[in-house]
Amino acid sequence: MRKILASITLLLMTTYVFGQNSSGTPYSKEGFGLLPDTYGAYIGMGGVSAAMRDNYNINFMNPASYTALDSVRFYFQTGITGEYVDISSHKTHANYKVAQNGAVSMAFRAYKKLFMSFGILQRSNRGFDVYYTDVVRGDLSQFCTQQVEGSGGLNEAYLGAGYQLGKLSVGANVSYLFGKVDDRLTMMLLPMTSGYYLKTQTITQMSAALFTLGAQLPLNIGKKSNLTLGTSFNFGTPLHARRTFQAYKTSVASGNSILLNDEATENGTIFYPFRITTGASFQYDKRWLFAGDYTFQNMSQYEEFGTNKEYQNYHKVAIGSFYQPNAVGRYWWQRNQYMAGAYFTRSHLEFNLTDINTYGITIGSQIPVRLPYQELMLGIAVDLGMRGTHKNNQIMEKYVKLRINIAFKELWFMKAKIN
Amino acid sequence: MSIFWKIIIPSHLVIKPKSRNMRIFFIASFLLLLYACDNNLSTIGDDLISNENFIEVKRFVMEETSTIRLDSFPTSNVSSSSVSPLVMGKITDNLTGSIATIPYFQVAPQGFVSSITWENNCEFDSLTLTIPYLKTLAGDSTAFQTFELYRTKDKKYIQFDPYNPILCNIDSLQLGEKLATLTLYPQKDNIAQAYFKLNYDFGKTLFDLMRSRDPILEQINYPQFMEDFGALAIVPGKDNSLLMNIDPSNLKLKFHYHIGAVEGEDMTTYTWPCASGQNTNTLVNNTYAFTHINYDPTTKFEDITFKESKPFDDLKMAVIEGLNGFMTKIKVPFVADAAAYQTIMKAEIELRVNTDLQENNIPEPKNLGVYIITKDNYIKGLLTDMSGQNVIYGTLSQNSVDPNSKSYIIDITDYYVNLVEGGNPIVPEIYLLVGLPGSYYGLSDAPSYQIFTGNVANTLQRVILKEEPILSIYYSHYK
Repeated sequence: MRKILASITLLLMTTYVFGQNSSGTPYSKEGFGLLPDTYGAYIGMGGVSAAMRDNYNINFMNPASYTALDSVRFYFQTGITGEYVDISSHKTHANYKVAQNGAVSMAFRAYKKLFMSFGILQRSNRGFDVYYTDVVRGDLSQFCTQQVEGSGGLNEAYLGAGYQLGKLSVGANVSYLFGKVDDRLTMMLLPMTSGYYLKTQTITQMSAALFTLGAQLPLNIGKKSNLTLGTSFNFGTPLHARRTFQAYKTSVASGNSILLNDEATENGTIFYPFRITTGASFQYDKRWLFAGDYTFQNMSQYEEFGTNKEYQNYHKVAIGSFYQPNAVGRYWWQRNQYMAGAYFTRSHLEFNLTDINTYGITIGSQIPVRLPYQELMLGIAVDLGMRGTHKNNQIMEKYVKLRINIAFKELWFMKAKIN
Repeated sequence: MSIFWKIIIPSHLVIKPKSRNMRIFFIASFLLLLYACDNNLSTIGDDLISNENFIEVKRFVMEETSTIRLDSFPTSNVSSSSVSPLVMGKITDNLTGSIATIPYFQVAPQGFVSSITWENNCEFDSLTLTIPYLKTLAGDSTAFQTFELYRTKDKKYIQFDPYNPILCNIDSLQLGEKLATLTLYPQKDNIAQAYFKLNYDFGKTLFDLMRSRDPILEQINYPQFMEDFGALAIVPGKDNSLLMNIDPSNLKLKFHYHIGAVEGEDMTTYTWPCASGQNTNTLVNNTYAFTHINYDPTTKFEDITFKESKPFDDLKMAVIEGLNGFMTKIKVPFVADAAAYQTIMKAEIELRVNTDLQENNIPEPKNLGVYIITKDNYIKGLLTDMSGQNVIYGTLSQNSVDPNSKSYIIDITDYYVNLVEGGNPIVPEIYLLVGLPGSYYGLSDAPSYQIFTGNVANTLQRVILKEEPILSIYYSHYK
């Protein structure tokens, strides 16, 4: 019963995260929102993933890594990021807080060298709430306001498998991408004492299957040294999309509404472009690990309902390392992994001939906790970064993210075979 | 390092963990993280996110604006729920003309007074009529005003028809004998104390009817008494310069008399109030009182009628005024809302007021009534909001910087939107009639029979439009 209750609790928490705004940046207005620059279990190392494999974390970013998991364990992993952002332009300043990038995943060995994983993730984050105050055209003494709100993003439910072929591990995630992009507009005259105010809502719902393939090749290059090469990628995939547009105006005095538009565009597509992450990790003396990733996404191919949005391609470079004093030490701080990393992203966004770049440094720790019959890895990472610039009337965001990642082995969902 | 982590995570949880405590700790941490995110996304970015939506205003000068004058309107009460004030006095206005008003009313005896008999030693003293002053409407309150109280010759005309209990501004009665004259200095306190002292013989005759227990004073004979007695009328002097409201429910003849020796005895009284259905046990629902309004227009306004309006260009103005019944008729342009993703946010009419033509301290109303009419001035209804329940008025607004800059704003949004965007048959010709606040009555089987009620009958307020009204339509372009 306790396991069921705990599962329900975690599910509710995840649902809560999936149901709310996961971003507050106006940069997330474009496309299906912002893809997270750092994600997964290794955010403390700059978010590297391609060549990361261990027997504590489910690295769902590269399905080939599933083969590194313990063969007799059932894994349960969940994570969430809290983000605090200081956002500023050349003339004003604000801040917001959101929860984002919730993830729940599970993994187990299915058959000999075949490992399986499944879970649900947030793939992109979207949310903004911007006010405009303008003069009424034709009468410079009168004003109106507009509120532009957006929310939504892409989610992913995946089922993955990893298989070990000698030293080479290969894997694939079959994902169902789904989500919606919700844009709302409210227009009103000032002062709002009579007449109508207007609301519109554009909802784009999208879904499709996405295949992510991965491979990892661990190599012993010395007595104390191991090198792992890894890559994961998905091909460009058209998402089936349906867009609805509703507009109505409401009387200020009576509250009665008049429907103005109720339109639907069926059978459209949004093209999710090719994305690849390639990297390597180098482990020395079982104490040090260094890793690096390069991610590319061909966002110039991004299309919505047949219209190319003319984004630029996405590039990201991430490096990270951890130090573990003694993996089998008596004390937890000896078994702890002390992580640090950095990353640079040139996003797909360009405004006013200005690239919207992101720079970040990360620190973190993966704290091993031994419980009776259970093992747990508590990952905590802090991501300090900066997105955008004040140049050419752009917006700069300075953010701090706190990622909590919890990975259980045999906890709650598997009874011990030997007491 | 270990000390640092012991601070963050208590050592007893790490070194000797208990599974239940750990679960609570992790779940609590998760919940804390989640609920710390308040999702208040009032962010910035108006420079960044291009927003091509906008609101624009288009303005139209309504050149087909004219002034009309109501042929007649009720000045008696049209319902028992509220007693309409009467108007007494006279005013001469150089702009629109002179207005002389005569309130007519009837009184009803209220049975016999037990102490007044031939057997008792009753002595009639006097008969008075007090002025139940309500307020001054307009005019010169620093000049003496003279009023004469008459009894009418017509004795049947004042009788209201229970099935058509309406008397109008144009109705009048033939005056008979003069009963009293009153000259007063029309300050509030003076008026409150002022009264007509009626002809002694006239009062004595009525008193003797009471003393002799004349059957005409019995309740069953009240209608006969009223028919025989006729009505009373308060006629303003020709040099009067003031109009004021009086309260018909407090109009009453007051008999003053003594019982016993005059000296040393207190004077005592009884009254005959203004007759009503209630105190006469008759079928009418109102008070037996109305105001005759004699309007003598200036040359500029003399040809204006309900059907024959005078254009704004001819008058160089448009007028709304009470008592003489001026209203402004406006033709509103029909602007079809054809563009896609464009809609009307607000439509309003602005009536700009001429504040330079101030005479007789005639005030401006705070609100204006708006009637939807046909081209032929047939009333289709009052202007209302979308629900049809809430009447829309023109409201006075004043420029905070320039107090002399005043205008009335009529919000016609719902009505206009319904015409140009709604599914109802389109009526390309839209006419509005703007006057003092009020209502109207009409008979469905006699469309031409329509009467206006409200402030026009008992309020002297005036609006002079210095410009042709302007229709402002605010469009939002939202996609």
